[in-house]
Parts: sequence; structure tokens; C-alpha cells
Amino acid sequence: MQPVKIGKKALQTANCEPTLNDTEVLDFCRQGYLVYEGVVPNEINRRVYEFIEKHGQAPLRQEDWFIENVLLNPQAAGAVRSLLGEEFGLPVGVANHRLQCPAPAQCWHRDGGSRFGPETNHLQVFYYPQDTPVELGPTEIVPGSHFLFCLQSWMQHYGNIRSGLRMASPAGTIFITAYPIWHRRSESTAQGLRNMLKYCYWRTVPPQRDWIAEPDFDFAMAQFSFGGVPRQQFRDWYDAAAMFCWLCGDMSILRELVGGEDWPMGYPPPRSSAQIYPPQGFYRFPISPIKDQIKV
Amino acid sequence: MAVPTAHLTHIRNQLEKCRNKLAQGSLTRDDLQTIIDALDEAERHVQDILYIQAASTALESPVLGMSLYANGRRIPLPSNRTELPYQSVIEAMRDGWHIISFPNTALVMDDSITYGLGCEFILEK
Repeated sequence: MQPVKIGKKALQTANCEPTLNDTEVLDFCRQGYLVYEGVVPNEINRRVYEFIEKHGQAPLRQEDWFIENVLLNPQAAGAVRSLLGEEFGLPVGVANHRLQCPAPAQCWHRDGGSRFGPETNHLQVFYYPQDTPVELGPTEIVPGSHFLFCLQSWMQHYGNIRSGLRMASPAGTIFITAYPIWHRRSESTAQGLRNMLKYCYWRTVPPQRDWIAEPDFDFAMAQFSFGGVPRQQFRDWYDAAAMFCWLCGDMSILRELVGGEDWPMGYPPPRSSAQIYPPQGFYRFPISPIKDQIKV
Repeated sequence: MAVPTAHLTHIRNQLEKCRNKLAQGSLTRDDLQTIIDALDEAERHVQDILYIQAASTALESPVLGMSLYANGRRIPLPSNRTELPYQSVIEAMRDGWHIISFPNTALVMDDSITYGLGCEFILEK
């Protein structure tokens, strides 16, 4: 038998202290993104810009100064550590979405291979090495869309989405997104060159709630609802709760919260202002165990 | 022949660009040709298509998203969401658009999946 060759790139891992607390992790679950404006120092942004002009972006991830100041930027890496756990994998590649402006908007898409569900095993990150105002076509995202399943080829006709958010930001901004979030390059009107670097971090350990736990964080009263893109009632609550519980590494919390693990729940979810449903002790018995007891 | 609103908007935009270029002294023959081309295209009666993603199947429900193809090309819509040409499907109908496709219920047979953006109507002129 011939040996099987799988030529994977070696994964370089890193570790640091988590910087997000429960509320911030939950915010990522609800909206699908976190923004860190202007966190990379200007001298590094300039160096990145000049490096790209000379060498392209690919060798950047081997440069110590880039790893230290961008990939392991304290704010961004602290958030990555919070969401992906210890010994998270550093990017194995860096893409540059370089554009000569002005240019029309790109079609809406979610990146290839996106999975639909609560799991968060890698993160998609965007970094602007230069000021990226609205005129230079910043990335536009739809908050909360990481839960909206849609085939990429079936969303190309979408145009202006009312809840779309253009991430116009100063140089040195990093934003971290759930991989399946809907995004596109927005229309640019100014003359100039736009660079935007994009890369992924990877999980290497099972999820657990090892970010900054808030002593008073009450899962039943937490604000899981998002209220972004209108969806089937309470589905935003359920999806964010499922993702948060998955990140905690304990889906039994979701079962405890709603009396079952799957959608639809059959009743409204707990509310942050007044926890009404479901009452303590309630359990939604699935159909299969009851069926098993019925003698036909 | 009545020229559709989208064509008029496109021609108006081209004229405004030319006016600005004239003021700057950079107006060219090609700039003027784009207006002539736009007028020619307006006469060719290409079907215009308006996609509206609404919050529900009700015609009055608010628009979540919109895209417009007029005269055989995609027309950029205002980036300011409040300046979208219509705020509901029924507003578009009042402006002469006809619905040719209602939201596809085949996509909602399984409520464990939220498919796409809202409820999509396709309209034509």
C-alpha cells in the first residue's frame, strides 16, 4: 500500500491572557464581530504598507515585528485567546485584498467552506494597514448574519442591505469575525490604493469558559437577543445562546436554559428583564423516547 | 415613450458628473458620449428588475435589502439606507412595479434553518 501524503503546513501556536469577559464573548456570539480601532501603532502600519509594496503580503507572517505587533497585538490576540482558547494557532497564510479605487461594490458573500451552526473553531480577521474611510471601500458586514444560512451563489443578487455596516476605520484597525459572516467590499469613490489584510486563527483545544468569567453573570438573564436582521421570532436568541454554550464547552447549559437542545423551543425563551419561560423543572420530552415506550 | 425613473436617475447622474467636469475644465467628448449612450439604452426597453428582501411576506413590511437592474445593468443604490427608493414592496408597486415572484415557500419547509435574507419579492417594469 502506498503511503498517503498530506502536505499540511505546520501550525505555529501562541498563548496570552484572555481579555474578554462573559458579556463581550456573548456580544461576539450575537453580532458575529468585534472591532479594535487603531490598535496597531502607526509606525507598524507604515512598515506593513511599505513591506507589501516591496515583497507582497505573503512573507509577512514570517516577520517577527509583524507577528509581535499585528498577529499578537495585545487587544486582538487577547480576544482571539478568549474565543479559541489556549495555544491558538496563528495564521498559516495572509491574503491582501488590494484594490485600485474607485471601484463598484463587491457581491455579498460568505467565505467558502463556511459552516452553519454554533461551532467556532477558527476566526476570520481583517486588518487595515492604512486609513480606510468610506471613500476607499471598507469591508461591509451584516451583523448577526453568521447565523443566516445562504448558499454563496444564491446571494450574489443582494444589493443594499439595510443593516449592513461599513467598517470605515483608521489605520491599525483589526476586526475579528465569525467565519460565516456575510461581507463584501463596499463601493469606493476616491482615487487611491486600498490594502486590507485578511487571515485566520485556529482552535487547537476543546472550547471551555476560560475567558474572564463575571461572577454575577446569569445565563437565564443574559441578553442573547440581537434584534439585527429580522428573523423567525426568538431564533436570534436561540442561535446566540447555542453558540455561547458551545464556547463554554457545555451544551447542557442550553438544555438547562430552554428545557431542550433543539430548535424550535416551543415557547418563548427566557428574557433578560423578567425571566418567565421556561419555569424551573420543565423538560421538553422529545418524541423518540416516548415512541420507544409505545407498544404498537 | 415614458422613460423609467431608474433611467432618468442614471442620466441625471451622468449629467451632474459632466457639469462638475465642465466646471473643472476636464469635460471630454467621451463624457458626453456616455449620456448619448444612456439615452439610446433608455429607448431599448430592456426589462427592469427590482429585488426586494422584506421583513415578512406582507407587502407593507419594511425593506431589509434591495437591488435594482435597469436597462440591462446593475444600478448602485444610495449608500444611505434611509434614501432607498422604496421602504416597502407596496411603495414600489405604487410606482409602477409589478411583482413577478413572491417569496419562495419551498425554502421554509424546514424551520430549523433560516435561509437567506428575509422574504424576497422580485418585481419588474
